[in-house]
Amino acid sequence: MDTERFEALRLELRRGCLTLAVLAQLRIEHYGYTLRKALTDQGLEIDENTLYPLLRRLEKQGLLTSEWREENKRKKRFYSLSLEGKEIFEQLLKEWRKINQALDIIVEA
Amino acid sequence: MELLEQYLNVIKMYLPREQREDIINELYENLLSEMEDIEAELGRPLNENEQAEILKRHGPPQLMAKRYAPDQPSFTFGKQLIGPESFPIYVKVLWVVLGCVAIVHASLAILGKSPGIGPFISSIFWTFVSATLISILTEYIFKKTRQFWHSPAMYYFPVPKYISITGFFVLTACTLWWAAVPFFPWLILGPAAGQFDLTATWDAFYLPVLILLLVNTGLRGITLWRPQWMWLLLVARLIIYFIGFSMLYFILEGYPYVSVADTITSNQAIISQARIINDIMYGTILIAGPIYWLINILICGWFLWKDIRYRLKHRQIR
Repeated sequence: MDTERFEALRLELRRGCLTLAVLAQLRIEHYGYTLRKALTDQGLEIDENTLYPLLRRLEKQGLLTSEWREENKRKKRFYSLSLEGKEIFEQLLKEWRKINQALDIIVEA
Repeated sequence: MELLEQYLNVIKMYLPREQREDIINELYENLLSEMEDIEAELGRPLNENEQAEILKRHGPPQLMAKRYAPDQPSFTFGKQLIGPESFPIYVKVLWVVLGCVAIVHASLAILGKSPGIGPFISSIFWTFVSATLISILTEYIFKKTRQFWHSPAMYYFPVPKYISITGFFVLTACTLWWAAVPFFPWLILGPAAGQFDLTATWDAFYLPVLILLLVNTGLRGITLWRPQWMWLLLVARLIIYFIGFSMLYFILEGYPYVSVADTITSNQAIISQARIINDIMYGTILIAGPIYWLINILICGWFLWKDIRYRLKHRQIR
C-alpha cells in the first residue's frame, strides 16, 4: 500500500518536471526516440508510453511544432519548441527555479 | 520486424480514427530506431524474444493507445463495467450484431416468413442485452488474465499452445456431447425428454454438425503439433464458419425441432409446452447463430487478411 501511495505521489511530482525537461531538450530539434535517448543519457528516465503522447499534447497546446522529414531514407517526425513554447518555457523555468530555491530552504530548515 | 507490426496493429485498433495512421507511423519509426540502435550495439540482429522484450517494456498495446486518447468513453453502472480500452470494440461489436439481427429479419421478411415487429424488437433488445453482458464478462476475464493477454506470445503468428489445448478439450467435449444426443435426448431436452421427441430436422443436421465439430477438434490437434500453421487454422475455420452460417437458414426452416412423444397422450397443455420449447430453440438459433458465426467470420477473415498481406509484402521484399 505504501509503495502504491509513493508511486502515485512520485508520478504527480514527476509530471510537471517531465514537461519542463522535454521543453528544455526540444530547444534543439529531435524526433521521439532521440529525444528519449537524450533525456535518459542526462539521467532522466522516461517511458515511451508517457513521452510520445506527451509530445502530441504539447504540440496540440501550441508549445511544439513538428514536421515529417526524411533522415537516412526514412521519414521521421521532428519536434522543436515553437515561438510560444519558447516564451512559456522561459516562464516555467523561472517558476521552477523559484520553487526549487524555496524547497531547498524549507527542507534544510 | 513482424512482431513490431503485430504490436502496432493491436494499438491501431484502439486509436481514434482521425489520428490513427499518423500515430502508428510515428510509433513505428521510434520503435524501429530503438531496435536498430540495440542491434548496432550488439552487432547482430535482434531475435524474436529480444524484440518481444522491448515491446513488453513499452507496455500493453491497449495502455499505449489509451495514453493517446485519455478521455475515451466507458460503460459505467456504479463501477466501471466496460473500460475505455474495450469500449470502442464493444460499440463496434454492438453495431455488427444488431446489423446481423436486422439483416436476418429483413431476409425472413423478403422470404415471406417474417415473425413480425414484436419478435424483431424483442430480438434487438435481447441482442443488446446479450452483447453487453458478454462484453462485461469479457472485460472481467480480460482484467483477471491481463498478464497473459499482454504477453508477447499474443503478437506471434504461431498459434499459442494455450489456445490449441483449450480448444482441443472444449471441442472434444462438444463433439462427444453432440454424438451422444440421438441416443440420450435428455442431453438437449433435459427432464422433458420423456415427454418429447426430437423431430426429423435433427437427422438432417446431425451428421454435418458432427463432421464440422470433428474437423474443428482435429484442427486444434494439428495446431498443437504444428503451431506455425496459423494459416491452416484460419482458412479451415473460415470455411467451417461459412458452412455453419449457411446452414442456419435450413435449420431455421426445419422448425419445429421437438414434437410430443408417441408414448404420451397428446393434450392442449403438452402441445403448448412443445410450442414454447420450439419457439425458444428457434429464437436462440435466430439470434445467437448469426452473432456467433458472423463475429467469427469477421475475426478469422481479418487475421487471414493480415497474414496474407504480411506474406505478400515479404515476398515482394525478397
